[in-house]
Amino acid sequence: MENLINEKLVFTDQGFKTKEAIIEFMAAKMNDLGRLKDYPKYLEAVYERERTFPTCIGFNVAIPHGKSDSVKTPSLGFMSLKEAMIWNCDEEVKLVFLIAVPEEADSNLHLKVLAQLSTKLMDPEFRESLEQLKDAKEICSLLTFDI
Amino acid sequence: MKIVGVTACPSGVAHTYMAAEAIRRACKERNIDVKVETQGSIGCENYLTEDDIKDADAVILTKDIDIQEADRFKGKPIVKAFAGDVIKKAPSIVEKLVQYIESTK
Repeated sequence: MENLINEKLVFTDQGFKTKEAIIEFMAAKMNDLGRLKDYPKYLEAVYERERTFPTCIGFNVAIPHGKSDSVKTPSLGFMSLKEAMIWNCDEEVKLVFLIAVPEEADSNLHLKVLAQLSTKLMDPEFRESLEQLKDAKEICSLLTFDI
Repeated sequence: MKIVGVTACPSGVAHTYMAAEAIRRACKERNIDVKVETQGSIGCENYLTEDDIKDADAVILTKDIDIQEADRFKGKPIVKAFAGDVIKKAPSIVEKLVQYIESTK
């Protein structure tokens, strides 16, 4: 099984200022890596979710996600920002996790990994490490779980 | 004191699990017994049994989408909140519940 995340989907110290720029940059990388079937359709799924309810969850974290048949390989993109940006209303964000999940997942395994990641994100120390780390490899290993 | 909860969200991928963990953390900080069921995309985990519910002083349910078998909690004090608010404000939700539970004892 292909991992949800690899070093090519980790971006640290970025200077993006808008959620659209962040989402499109990471989704384009997923697409370049052959993980999406339909890039525009995936973006639309992510934006639709943001419109329904913005995915900033507090603690300077946002988790934009699209569950759509436009996704080929379940994927996770990670970005840390040099400076906090405004995700929605007055909510500042420094860590972004872009999630791509196919409508019908072949296995529950990826979803279990995402469930575990979501749980871990409630841990302040875990978030702190993600903010501090600069090395893509280390970040990947922190974001990869054995289920 | 014991609090139980059930969390769910539209995609069932992330918020469900964050909200559940936020409730667990908020309760553990106050030494409150806690069990939270997740109704997510990987199915139902930590199912709340009749026994679990019988001992509970209060129930926290997310209200983004319908909770399955919500009638299990009939007769218990129930707080309903959006998963996003539970994630951000679990400690203050638990605090208010504690005050409520203590006021009824």
